[in-house]
Amino acid sequence: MQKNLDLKWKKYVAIAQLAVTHGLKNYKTLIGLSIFLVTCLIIFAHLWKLVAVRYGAVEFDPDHLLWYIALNEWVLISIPEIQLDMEQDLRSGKLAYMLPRPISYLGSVFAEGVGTLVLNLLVLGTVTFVFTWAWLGSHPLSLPGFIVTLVFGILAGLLALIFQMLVGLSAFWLQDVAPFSWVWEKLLFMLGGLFIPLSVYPAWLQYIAVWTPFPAILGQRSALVLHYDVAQVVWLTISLLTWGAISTLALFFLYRRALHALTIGGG
Amino acid sequence: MLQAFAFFVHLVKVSIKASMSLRGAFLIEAGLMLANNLIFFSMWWIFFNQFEHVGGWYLKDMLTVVSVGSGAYGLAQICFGEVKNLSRIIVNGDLDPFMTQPKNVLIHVISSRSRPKGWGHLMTCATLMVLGDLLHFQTIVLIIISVVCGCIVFTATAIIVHSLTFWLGSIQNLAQKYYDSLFLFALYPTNIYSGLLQMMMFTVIPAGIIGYLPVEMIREFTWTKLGLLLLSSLTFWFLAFFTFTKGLKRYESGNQFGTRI
Repeated sequence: MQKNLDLKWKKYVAIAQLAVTHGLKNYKTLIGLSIFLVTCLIIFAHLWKLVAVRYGAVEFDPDHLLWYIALNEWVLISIPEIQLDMEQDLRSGKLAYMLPRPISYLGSVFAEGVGTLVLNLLVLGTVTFVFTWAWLGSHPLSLPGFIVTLVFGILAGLLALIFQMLVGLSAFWLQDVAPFSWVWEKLLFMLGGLFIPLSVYPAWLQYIAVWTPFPAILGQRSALVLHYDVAQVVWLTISLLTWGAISTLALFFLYRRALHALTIGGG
Repeated sequence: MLQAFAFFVHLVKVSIKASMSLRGAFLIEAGLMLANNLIFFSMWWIFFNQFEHVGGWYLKDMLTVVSVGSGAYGLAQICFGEVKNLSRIIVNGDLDPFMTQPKNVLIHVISSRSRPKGWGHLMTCATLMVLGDLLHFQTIVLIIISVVCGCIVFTATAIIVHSLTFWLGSIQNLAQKYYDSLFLFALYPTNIYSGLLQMMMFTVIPAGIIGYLPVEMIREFTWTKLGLLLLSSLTFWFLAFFTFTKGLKRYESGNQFGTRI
């Protein structure tokens, strides 16, 4: 039984490894993502510098704010667009060949996503850290803070990956996932506090944001840079695990419904 | 020139009809793009509620830049929707069917598809104009001119970057990221930059032409600003045609057979 379990996991590990190899071969994509990341950071660096100068010593140190945004952009841009791959699998009919395989379709998509995510997080994390440190000349992270940041970055990326898969499942009903993908992304920007910390938002909007997974993926995680607090670390851990559980259950439930719809529709 | 323009108009009409053929999907895509853009703009509303102004620009100016930027991008998606695939078309040898027809190759390629989400961007432009009370006759005229010029600059920049494929090989992802960066820069205040970066905003990454010039023109109109906007848009357009034409001379396709339906 142990051997069967090992074999089962080895399949998914192999898919993840293939995704990493594929990502390394397509290094131009990584270069493009790095350029895009640096572009975003340059815009925000100028924006916050100007605003901070205008308002003097605001509640937030502009250097810490840039680190906050950098850590947000790091995870955001690293998330692979697997919802588009899922849409393509369905549209091209490739799904029909993947379903009978002795490997879960959801599992294989997730494994592939994890492989790409890990590679992106490594490469873009290096770019983010080097650029921001070079731009500011300093960093606010202690060693425990750095490790916590890395761990939560990976967990947040995994959570975002599951939600991307949920968006991808909408292809079974709507054929085109792009519109829902855009709305999900913009809600992530807004309620996740992409370039403004959530504490600056109006109270009613903060209340709404708390009930969504977006702060756990972006702002709440990066805000540890602004104010490192063990209680916040514990709260974030609970938040990520809870939303991970909810999203995984939703994923399995909707996938079963999607397969049912596919079968009724004749495949 | 007139014949080419007439062909362009007919081609865009057909492309738009094709994009609207699935009504439900068209309406969902356009509607959700509108929602997407309004959610994005709400972040600026939150920002300006806290910080009042940035570099002398207030919420109304930000609203103008997002309105013009979205409108320009939307118009480019509607009229020149296939420009984002230009690199892939060149690499795959798919220019052949276009080259065998007695029409301008570049116009034929980039206008062969219209994207429904462009209508969502145009609706965003109109919605923000209403929300920002930008409905005076002169303002409307200036915004229309800015949207058309912005569309030209967006498309021309995409053509130039994608045409580098003739020399550099497959750069589809890089070219797309560059185009996305341009859209990103165009929707953020351009007056926050200085020095070399500010110069880049009007040359290498012409977000300043798409966003900054129109806003300054609408804040305080002068014929000089209008002239600069028109001249820079036309310059980018001619540069785009020049780059593509030069690159086309290097074009080779393999023995791949393909059809264009």
